Amino acid sequence: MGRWAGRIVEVKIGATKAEGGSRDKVIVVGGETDLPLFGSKEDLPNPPIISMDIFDCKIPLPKVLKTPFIEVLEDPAEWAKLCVNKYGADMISLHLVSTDPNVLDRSPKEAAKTVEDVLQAVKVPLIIGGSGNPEKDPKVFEEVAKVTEGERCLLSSATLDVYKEIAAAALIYGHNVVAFTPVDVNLAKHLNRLLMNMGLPPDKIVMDPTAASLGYGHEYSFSVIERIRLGGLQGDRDLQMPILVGVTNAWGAREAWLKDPSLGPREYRGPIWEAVTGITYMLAGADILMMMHPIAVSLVKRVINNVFRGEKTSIKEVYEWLKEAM
Amino acid sequence: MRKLTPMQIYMLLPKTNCGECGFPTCLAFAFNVASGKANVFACPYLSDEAKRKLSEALAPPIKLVTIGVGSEAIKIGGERVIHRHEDKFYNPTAIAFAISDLLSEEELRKQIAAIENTKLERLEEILKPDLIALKGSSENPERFAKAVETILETTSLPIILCSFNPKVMEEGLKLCGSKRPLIYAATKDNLESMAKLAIEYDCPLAIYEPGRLESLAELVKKARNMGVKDLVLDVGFNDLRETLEKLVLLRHLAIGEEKREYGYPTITFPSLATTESDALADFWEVTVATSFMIRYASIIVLNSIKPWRILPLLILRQGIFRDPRIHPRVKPGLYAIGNVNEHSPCLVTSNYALTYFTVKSDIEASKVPSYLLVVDTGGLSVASAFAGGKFTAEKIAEAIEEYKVKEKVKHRTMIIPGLTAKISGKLEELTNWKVIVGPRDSSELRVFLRKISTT
Ligand code: B12
Ligand code: SF4
Repeated sequence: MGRWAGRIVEVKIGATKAEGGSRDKVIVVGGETDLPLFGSKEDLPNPPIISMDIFDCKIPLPKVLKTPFIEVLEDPAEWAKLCVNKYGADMISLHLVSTDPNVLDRSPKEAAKTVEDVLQAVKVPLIIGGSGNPEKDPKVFEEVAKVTEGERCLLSSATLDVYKEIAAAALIYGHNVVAFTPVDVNLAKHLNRLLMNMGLPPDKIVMDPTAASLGYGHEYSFSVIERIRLGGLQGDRDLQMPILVGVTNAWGAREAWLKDPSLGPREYRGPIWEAVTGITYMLAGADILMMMHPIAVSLVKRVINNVFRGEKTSIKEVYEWLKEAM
Repeated sequence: MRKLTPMQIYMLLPKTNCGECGFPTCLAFAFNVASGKANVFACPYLSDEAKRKLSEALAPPIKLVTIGVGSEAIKIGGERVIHRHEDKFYNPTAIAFAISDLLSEEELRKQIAAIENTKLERLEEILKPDLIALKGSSENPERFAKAVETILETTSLPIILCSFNPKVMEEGLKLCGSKRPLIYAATKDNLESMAKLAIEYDCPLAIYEPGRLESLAELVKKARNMGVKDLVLDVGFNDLRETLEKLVLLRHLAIGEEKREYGYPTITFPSLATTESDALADFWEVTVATSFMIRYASIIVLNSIKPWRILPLLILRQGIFRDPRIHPRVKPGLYAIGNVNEHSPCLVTSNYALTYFTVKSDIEASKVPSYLLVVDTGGLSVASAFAGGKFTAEKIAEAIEEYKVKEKVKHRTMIIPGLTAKISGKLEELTNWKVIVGPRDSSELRVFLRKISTT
């Protein structure tokens, strides 16, 4: 329909040898000129990207979520390989949870070593997540950004409380930044402005507006994402950055993991919870989906391949279906 | 409300400024109607002419269609906006399960019972499937009628009669036509006979046209000219993206461009997405249903009923069709959970409905009768309210006084949510109560409360 004045900024993640990094290819997100399905193919030049979450130490996870990774839970490099080679992850999001003083309090140097191992193991671009500890994260990001200089990673995340150090590290060592805000369009704008005031250009920023789990605030997140995207399309430059969602949050819903035979097997409930959560945000405009369960990843990929890449899926004729007894 | 200016509304009012609508002048009233703050029918003196014009102008751009009769009847359509944040979505996507007339009577009864028994209570609502779609697989009018009979005997859920054969359809309608089933479907080949049936039995009619939307509009106009008022549109499903794009375009044409021939609710068939050779078949149908629901399908028809497959759809629907301007909330106060006495533990939480019902069910699961003090957070969850400064020691202290907790319990100990540990010191100071910091997630209360009550 070509309805809008605005265009979402394109952000490049990862760098090849020629560009001073070591990745096989560069991932580009953004560039949209309409919401998915509302316009034409040309309105969505870059299909959404799936980044699979891995952690640098043991963390409590629901059993169903642990099972596919049971062999690699203590080896981030192997874990990353499994995600890329077997489950088809476009990117890896490595969360440096162990650096939290209340977890293992690993040093920034140790964390940087883990990041290097993962960079060695896989050739896809990287999202690097901190532990969320506001005192420790700046130090961790400073060190990690330095040793990965030139790789054009995505550092996750800058918040309203802690953004200066992370933005500075990204600026100096050539990385991108995730701007995390809690379910609020105005706070998202505000943080983007703060980051841009520090000199970070819009094509180095990806927004994470909080992806609540299905049933636990999902409808708030859904509308906030839609509003952010429409705001950007309508021309608000502070909202024209691509959107990232932490779909793995879906596992926070008790319906996804609670042992309750009346709700059906947990082996199915968790993956479908994650898939449904992810697909809704993707249709609202999300560009990068951080996910975890292989089945959920397959389902979302299938939607991406069809809706964004135009690959056909097999579907029954309605006449044929009507004839079936089942 | 559609696009009527205050002046257009004013011209239709009596202009006597009598004030009975609650506004001092007709003009003031007109402005408030135009901005959606007042209902135009609050003026008792509207002429019949004005009433007719106003109801036409104020009717939703997507027609409201009712399927079924009585308390189980469902309403679809009636929508006014493209995005929920612009207002809200009015009528939730109806979920239908398909059964075939080839099944034995016993098998039919079993399947209907499975559909009927799928119920879930959440936030004081009963979430459940809405419709039964009967497939005329046999192509045999008698067999179809027999199956309709079985449905009527077993359930009061509204029905979608599925057959492209008017003879089969007619046999079904003879039995259940008075119950307003949805007739599925008229096509370019059978439109006339199906439309006649819809008029004769006064039932809503679905139109199936998988080609261009213009062709669909042609059929709509034909049916309308014949006198069918309530239509439901099926744009076909040969490709997920194509169907989704058509659903979005329909919505845009109906609401954005006010094209009446597209202003009807829609029916979709995620059930067509499952092929036996697909290892993810069961998951895939739910995935497809999700995207249809998010992008405007008024009815989704699914194959087999399994709790884990319908659960996410029911919960997705409950959220997306909630009014985005209102946080669902419960009344603040002191609630007794179970058979309490003056020694029962006292827990504190927020008045977001989701939080209250979650914590309540966790307390119930612990089997330890407890008092739950629900603080007024304006309907925000504990986590959001705490971060936003609306779940504070002062608030809790006030609530203890206001709801006379001290008259109900002899002890002076309260349990607060784990997330809010930071306020425990201040809270002890303000109240002189002992404050115990509970678990972060209330699901752990099952164990936690039992432990506390035995020590
Ligand atoms: C939806 C949502 C919103 C919605 C609110 C919806 C609502 N009606 O509450 C909106 C968009 C309005 C919102 C606003 C804000 N939000 Co908010 N929001 C969320 C979100 C996504 C889900 C919250 C939810 O529904 N949880 C489910 C309910 C059931 O949880 P709960 O009430 O806390 O109850 C649980 C526990 O606390 C515990 N519990 C509850 N009661 C009791 C009682 C006892 C005795 C015990 C033992 C345990 C217990 O068990 C429950 C079940 O697990 C979360 C992120 C997330 N994934 O959690 C962020 C989140 C809570 N929000 C956050 C923030 C910061 C805010 C704002 C302050 C941002 C702002 N705009 O300024 C505002 C505050 C509101 C205001 N202006 O005052 C942060 C809080 C961060 C922090 N450090 O705590 C979060 C965690 C996001 C984040 N990761 O940053 N939010
Ligand atoms: S009740 Fe009707 S006539 Fe009276 S002031 Fe209101 S709009 Fe005018």
